[in-house]
Amino acid sequence: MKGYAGKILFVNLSTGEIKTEDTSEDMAKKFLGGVGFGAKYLFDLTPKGADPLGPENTLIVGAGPLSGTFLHGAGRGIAVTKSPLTGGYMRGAFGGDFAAKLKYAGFDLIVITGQAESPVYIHIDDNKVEIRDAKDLWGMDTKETQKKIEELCSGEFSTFCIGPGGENLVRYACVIHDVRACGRGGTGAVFGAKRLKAITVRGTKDVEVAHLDRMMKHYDELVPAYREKAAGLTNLGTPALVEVINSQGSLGTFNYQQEQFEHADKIGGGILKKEHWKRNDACFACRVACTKIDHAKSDPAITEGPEYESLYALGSMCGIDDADTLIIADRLCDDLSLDTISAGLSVSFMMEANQKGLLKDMDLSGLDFTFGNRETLIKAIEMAGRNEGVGKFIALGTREMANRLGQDSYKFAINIKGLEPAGHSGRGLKTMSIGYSVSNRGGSHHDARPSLEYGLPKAQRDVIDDKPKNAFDTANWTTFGDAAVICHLCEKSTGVILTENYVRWVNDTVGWDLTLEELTEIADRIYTMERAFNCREGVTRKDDKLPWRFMNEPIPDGPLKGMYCPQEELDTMLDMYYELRGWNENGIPSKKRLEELGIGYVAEQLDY
Amino acid sequence: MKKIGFDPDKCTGCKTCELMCSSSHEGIFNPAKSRIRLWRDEFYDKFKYNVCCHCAEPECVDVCPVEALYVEDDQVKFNRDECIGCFVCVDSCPYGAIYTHPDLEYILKCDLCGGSPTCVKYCPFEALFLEED
Repeated sequence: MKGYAGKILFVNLSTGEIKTEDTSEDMAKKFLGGVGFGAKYLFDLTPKGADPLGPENTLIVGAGPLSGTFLHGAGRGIAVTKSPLTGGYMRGAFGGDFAAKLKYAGFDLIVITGQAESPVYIHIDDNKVEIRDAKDLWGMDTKETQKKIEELCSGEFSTFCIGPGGENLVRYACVIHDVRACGRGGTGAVFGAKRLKAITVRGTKDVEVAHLDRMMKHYDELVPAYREKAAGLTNLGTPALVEVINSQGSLGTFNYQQEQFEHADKIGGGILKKEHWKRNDACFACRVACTKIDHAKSDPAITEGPEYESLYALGSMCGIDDADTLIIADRLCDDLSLDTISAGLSVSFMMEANQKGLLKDMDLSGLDFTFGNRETLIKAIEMAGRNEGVGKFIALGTREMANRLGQDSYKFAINIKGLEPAGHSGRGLKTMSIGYSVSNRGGSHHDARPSLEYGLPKAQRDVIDDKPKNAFDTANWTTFGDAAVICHLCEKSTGVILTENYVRWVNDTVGWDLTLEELTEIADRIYTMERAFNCREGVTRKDDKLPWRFMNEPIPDGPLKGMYCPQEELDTMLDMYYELRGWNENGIPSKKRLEELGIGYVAEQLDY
Repeated sequence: MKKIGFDPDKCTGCKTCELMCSSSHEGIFNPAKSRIRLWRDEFYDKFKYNVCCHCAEPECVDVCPVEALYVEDDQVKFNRDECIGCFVCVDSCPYGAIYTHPDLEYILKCDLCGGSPTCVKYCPFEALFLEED
């Protein structure tokens, strides 16, 4: 079995025990790697009802069989855990080269259990693995942390770490590697709860593949596609979507009171390139280089991005029309280790609550939560990350904020299963309506993808017939991508659903002889395993819903005026989707399907 | 003399060069076995590179005890079969452009892939190029 490093590292932070096991071919054939292994270990090792911020939660960080090769974005890593924001399954992925180095060190995956008594970091130098004291690193932001570890070790190490947001258990704290985030669902808070400041890794071993000659030939075939089809990403990066999505009428604005932002051109790809761009950056083994290093004009701040999702969440959602502010806010989120999407939507929730006069009894620490207030955005992020004043409330995320605020504020709490959605409208894109509602993570745009629907006229968008299948197909692709592990942004060049390109990558790397059907079944198995984790926690059909606003208030104006997703429509799509997955009418994976997928034991732990 | 040139304004740090170098020479993926190296000193900075520049007065050739390094056709060439892994050349190179193979059997030094470097061919943004003095 080529491709794999061949070892899985287990670190118990409670006991200090470090051990390794061989990566089994049986598990590899069923779950591939990355989030596939993650889903399996999380289900098996984390008991039902475990506190996400307690020692019983499991944290899986890793790579996949394609990591460390020259395939697209093959330095990308993943993290899987039980989310403190949603209470359910969470996976995240992040760019850079950390996962490639983990492979070069000889490991496919790290499975972290327990909870350290005092701050530690995990130090991996090829075979040598140590749990080291991190008391001196605690309190440092993510850049200071990485620089300090570089001083202590050497520049050859790559580090995955948290800042104050993770230490303070902000429910949407992220984890940062280099200038890139493993963003969603509070994995950073799980690090913080385990008192795990960082993982740092260096490796000098080989990643061997089965058929290098075939891979080289395939690589040559794909180079023109990367150059042509990804040219937009190379030129402007994801920020170009601000103008595109705004013109199509589905850019979340003022907490989704609108889906068009009058000042989109002041925060989009055009102005960032023209006035703020310094240079392009790429993750390991990437020919696209979508990363833009941008600088603020009024401040020394330099940041990676802001990416489209951050421009939407911190920008149009909060009514902020100033690129400088967004660059500073993005940088601040990265330094503190906060997810920009959930941070932005938590602030936009506050702004709408303020607009509706619901915050009169709350101590707002002197902040004015009027939409568009630049200073408030920056201060609110800082206070959330540092667990100060009104920031303690904002750090809860929109679901819990609405629970505590009451007064019908759930009607504008924009989240799915607790996770604030990305900037791909759950009203204007039916694939995302169904995709978000069934997503194992909640409001993630990297389960189902909006790619098949952008550019279509409203008439075609309104039709729901093909949308559950679109969501199923695209989620299988992204699930494969996070198991393999490769970047999803090659999808324009290699396929927005699973294609022979991906089959060739796996077979040529590992030496298997899989068919497209078999690869699809692996993705389906992983997705259903993730679902089973949630079902064991009590998730059923009743939880597969959208924010109240998406199901009750149509888009008020613009090209997609009138679109929303009422309950009857969602119900129709849920029935179709469950059938594709082999989940029963209540959304629980059926015993029959679990047995077909070779994971029948899971059914014993589910309530039917 | 031919050597591999570098434009830091075009380099994105993707390290395709290191991957292509290790796979074409060693048949595996491993930047620690690459003859060309990329790095940056600070967040957001431009990348730097290092690779043998086939200099005019190569000290490595002078110090090699077994003539595994030699000058031919205006290039500093390397015969792996002769190398005894003493790594005297690694210390002698004023540019630090000779690397130690992680298995400690021989050195890693750019051979220009015989004249058409793979790293140059696959650099996505033409940050690497072949130049002649």
